[in-house]
Amino acid sequence: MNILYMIFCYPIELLMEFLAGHFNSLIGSQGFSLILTSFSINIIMIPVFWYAEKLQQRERNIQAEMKPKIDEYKGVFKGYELHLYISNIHKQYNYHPIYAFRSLLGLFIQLPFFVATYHFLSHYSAIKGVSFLFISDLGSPDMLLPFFGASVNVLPFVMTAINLVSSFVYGKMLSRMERINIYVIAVLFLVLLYTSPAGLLLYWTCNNIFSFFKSVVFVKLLQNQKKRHLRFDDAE
Amino acid sequence: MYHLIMLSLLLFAVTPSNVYAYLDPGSGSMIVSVIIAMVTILIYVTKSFIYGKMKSLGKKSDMPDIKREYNVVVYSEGGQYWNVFHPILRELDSRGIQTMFFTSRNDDPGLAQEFTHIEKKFIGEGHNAFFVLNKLKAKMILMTTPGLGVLQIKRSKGVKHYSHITHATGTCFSYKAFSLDYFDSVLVGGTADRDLIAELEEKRRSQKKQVEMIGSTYLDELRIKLKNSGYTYNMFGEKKTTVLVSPTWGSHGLLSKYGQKLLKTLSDCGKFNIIVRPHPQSFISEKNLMDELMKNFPETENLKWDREKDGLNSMFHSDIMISDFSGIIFDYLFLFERPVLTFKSQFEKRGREAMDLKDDSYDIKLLDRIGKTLAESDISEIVSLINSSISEKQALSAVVKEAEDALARHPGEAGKRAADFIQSVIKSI
Repeated sequence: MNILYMIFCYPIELLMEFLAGHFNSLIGSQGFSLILTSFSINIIMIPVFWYAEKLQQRERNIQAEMKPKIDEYKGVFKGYELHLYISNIHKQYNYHPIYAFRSLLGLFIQLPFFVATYHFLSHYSAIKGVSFLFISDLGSPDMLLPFFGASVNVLPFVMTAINLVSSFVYGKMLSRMERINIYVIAVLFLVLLYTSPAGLLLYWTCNNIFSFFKSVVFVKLLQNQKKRHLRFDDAE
Repeated sequence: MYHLIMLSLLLFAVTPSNVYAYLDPGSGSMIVSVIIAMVTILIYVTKSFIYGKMKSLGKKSDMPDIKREYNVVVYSEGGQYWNVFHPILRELDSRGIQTMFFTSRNDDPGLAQEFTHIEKKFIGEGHNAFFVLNKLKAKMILMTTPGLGVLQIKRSKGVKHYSHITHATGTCFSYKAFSLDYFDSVLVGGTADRDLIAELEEKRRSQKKQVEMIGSTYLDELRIKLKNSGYTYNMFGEKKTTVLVSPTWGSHGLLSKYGQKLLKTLSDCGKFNIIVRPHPQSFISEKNLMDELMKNFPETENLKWDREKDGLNSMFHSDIMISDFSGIIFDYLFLFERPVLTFKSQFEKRGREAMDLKDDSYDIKLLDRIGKTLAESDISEIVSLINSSISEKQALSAVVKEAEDALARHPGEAGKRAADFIQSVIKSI
């Protein structure tokens, strides 16, 4: 695992460290340098996200095309006969359920970025004890809201709110079940990141704001592509 | 909910959760897709494995020599198709074309037939037959079994040409979906099936098949039987207008839907002799319904249940047929030119070729012209509908002539034309 990390993640981590360090020396703020690093990494990842999104979209499109026939057969056939008819639908569309793994390629491309980001921000000593705007320590949970003698971390809720808005926009392209799934994931992140250092949440929140705009653009582009294909099919 | 549970479990159990803490909704959705795909593939592979194992469960008795390379193979599911194959085998035999006749029933009349150039062999039913056919080596195989490459019979690499022959005078409209897609050729009755196949090929962008319009071999066979039968009106003591109720089987068939009501109306009026001829499959698949109907409407001087192998005698006796969308309608039309009342609205298109056609097929539209098409509400008026249809039957001649071109061309020549086609195919291989 260590070799894999060194090959795939460490170079990204070095890049992040380079960017964060240089932004900080340019503007003199650890907080703003984290924000700029987040945006820079996201910009670098645009082609990767776009490619992964297209793969997923292709899978969704073919599933959507096959669905009416599969539903029809499920209404009239059972057991082995149903299995044979569904296999034939796959044959007609040159599809095999194994192709669903095409979406996995996108995930494999993204994983090193996720791991590198987490590893980098967990060990980034430069943000420990550093304040930023209303956050007293980027290296600790924010504890911004006093609550009956204890403190509530606010940044995880801000992050989740942005995540939910982003999910809403992205969810327009998905099935109902997939939409529910991504809302649940957004809530899961709230739980998982609730006690994380403010620096991580700041980075992640910025990441999600960027993701929101990215989703808007991707949804529009893919919808336009689909319309163009439909027009082409009609013309045929 | 199932997917959600799977996702949550896998998020926490299989992977380091900290990594997923960095996922945005797009990536999260990707993981969801992957997990769903993995579960789907697992189910699919498991099913394929289990069903694959089922294929080899059949016993290997009655196995023909599957290493042998056959010339022409004709495969029949059983005696019910003997009328389809007999004229072709007779013709092939007379031309000296080496042919192997495989049947899945050991009571197939074909096994008792004497030929010079035709070998005959019972190969067992179900998985036994599929095993033989899937390993076959031959220049050409002809069969009535649809669903090649979709259901259990797959294309064998050792067979150069697969040909299907239709076994009813109606079109392939009511065949199950993709019945003919993987055949190289189809022998059909006339233009109706030719057009239907072309429409399906265009819609599915599937490979074009050779479609040969040969007419109907089994109708030719029935013509010969009818000519030699010497039938007389002897099923009933008194000659009255005779109504033949002859529907298809299954939950959408006439007897399932309206059997009770229709038979009661017909028998209560006392004006007709009635012959009820259910589809043979009804006595297997709908035994309870048959028992109930036979109990409620037992045989009387004016009502008979016909369970004979072929329905020629019943057709001969009747003046009018009441049916749904059974193929027997067109046998009746072409052999006797008598009217048919049909209940067709309950036809279930889902899972059938009909579902992929823009419109109803020729034979379904024809029903409106060879009698009246009825709904349940018409049953109370059935007496007057029968009388009016019989009085208008002279108009049927022109319709029959036109329908012959579409459904069963070249009367008396189908066997010869099928043999011509087979000969041309094996010559080209």
